[in-house]
Amino acid sequence: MNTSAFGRSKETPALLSGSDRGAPALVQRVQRLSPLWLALPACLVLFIFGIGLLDLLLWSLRSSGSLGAEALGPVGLQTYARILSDPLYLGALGATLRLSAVSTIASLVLGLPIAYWIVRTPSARVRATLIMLVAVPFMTSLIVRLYALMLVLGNTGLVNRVLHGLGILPENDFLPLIRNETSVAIGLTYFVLPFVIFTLAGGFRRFDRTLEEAAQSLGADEVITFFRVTLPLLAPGVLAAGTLAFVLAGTAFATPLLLGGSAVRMIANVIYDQAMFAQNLPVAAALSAVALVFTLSCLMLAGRLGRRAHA
Amino acid sequence: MRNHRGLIARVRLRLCLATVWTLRGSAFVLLFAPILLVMLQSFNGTSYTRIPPSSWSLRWYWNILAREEFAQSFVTSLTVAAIVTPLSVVIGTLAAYGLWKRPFSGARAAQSLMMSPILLPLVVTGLSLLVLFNRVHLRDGLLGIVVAHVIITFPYCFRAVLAALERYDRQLDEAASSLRARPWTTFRHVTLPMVRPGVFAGALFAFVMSFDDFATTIFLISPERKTLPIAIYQYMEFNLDPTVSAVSTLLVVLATVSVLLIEKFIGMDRFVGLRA
Repeated sequence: MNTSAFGRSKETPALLSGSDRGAPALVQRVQRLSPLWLALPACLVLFIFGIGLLDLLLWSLRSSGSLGAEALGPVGLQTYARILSDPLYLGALGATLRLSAVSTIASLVLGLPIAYWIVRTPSARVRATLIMLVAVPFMTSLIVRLYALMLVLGNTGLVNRVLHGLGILPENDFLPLIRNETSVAIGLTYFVLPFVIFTLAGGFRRFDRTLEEAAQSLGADEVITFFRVTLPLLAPGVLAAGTLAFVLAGTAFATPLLLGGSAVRMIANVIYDQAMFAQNLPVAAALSAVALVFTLSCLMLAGRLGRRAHA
Repeated sequence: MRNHRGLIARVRLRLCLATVWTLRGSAFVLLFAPILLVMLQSFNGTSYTRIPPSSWSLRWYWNILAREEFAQSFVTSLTVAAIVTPLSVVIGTLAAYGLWKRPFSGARAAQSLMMSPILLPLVVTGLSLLVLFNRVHLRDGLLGIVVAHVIITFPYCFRAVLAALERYDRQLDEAASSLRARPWTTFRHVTLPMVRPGVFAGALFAFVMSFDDFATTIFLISPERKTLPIAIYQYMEFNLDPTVSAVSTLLVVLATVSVLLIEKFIGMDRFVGLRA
């Protein structure tokens, strides 16, 4: 037991003489309350958040109106019907699902070898260095990273310059890597990769090597051991990281805004445009509800699958 | 026959290793090529992107000082983060301690509820707060941004402190109580010192999330009051010169310094949840 907290002799009398007799009545009463009351400030914050959310969801039941103006139209689901029949919104929903699926898979494929390296390296120094290397982009402002990625992918950017330099592309031609779905997919992968690596490494950490050793002692080589034994054991970690990537990418706002411009709209961008420029708050609110349902159903599904994997 | 199988296994292992190292290389290129390129471009002498730069200059760094929006928004971001961080730390720590201290049947649900603001899309949080603040005439000020940032950052503090508490031996608390220490004394002198790394990790997370937030804040800014990420974005919309590269370089340096400080004081592995 760590006794350092008790070790300071100055504190000991306070601890020992800590009967409530000397304290004022109010203090006594406060100290007898359930510790749950300590969560009161947090509940207050959650209350503000909840009221705002409720207000927004109520807006989704009207048909038109803008910020600061009265909501118009009867209360009903007409805005949802409108979203689900308008190709503009359906297109954005489709792009959202497509791009987040692609970037989830890409980030898992790129992240898995690094996460595995972090967990398995015998050298503490290599491990710490790898973690710090992934942490630098993780801690750098997202806008900065996206701007930097624009410099890489732009028409006069790094990739095109390298292709020109190697003579793969003629000087007057360029690979269109910006303001399209390719650039957004790359951007989303870049955005979620550090989250994926850390989540995977967190999942891999808690796993037991004896099964691998057993497989190898029975004559399986490293490759077979990895695919038949290790990977199934890592599945819960992969599921958690994949869910996080899918949810983060599916609700991303800045990445499609900067790398997709007006050519690629994901659900978060349509919400912003409808609320701030089109002054169509009910549509923005209904799309927010769709985004909420998307996030919560992903998390619940992953939770259920995760429990089954553990059972 | 036996040799033949051994050869296949060796070739297969080589191929797998080659793939793994290619993937590791690609991941690091993706993570670092943009950051290194932006640093290089910040010393570019011409006023458009040129790779590699044909001339070198420090004038974009001077331009940061000349354009007052960067300094102003930096101060705004710093002010917001400096107000938000202690609030989130106190709110998150108290909630984590309160829910942990006396276990009850709905504790898991209560934990999920506390985490809900960071599970929901940031854009949705931003829009719902805009609608709410508009109703109560709380727009165009710092207060709205501060409230929004507390909502999206206190769950990080809650989670970090709760994770630290779950590793902590409850018997220490009971020992202190049996010595008739008052709850506050126990918390202040016994529990808090033990979960201090969690509190620090939560505080840093809250600071970084508040300083960097874009998706929620963009709903709540006014033309006079904007945070640094928004100012960078708005500058980029109209200017293509390397000033943004210079600002970016400074922020990358700031991120690197914070990573080194975190490593030194609490350990980066603990900060990102890779060590108990």
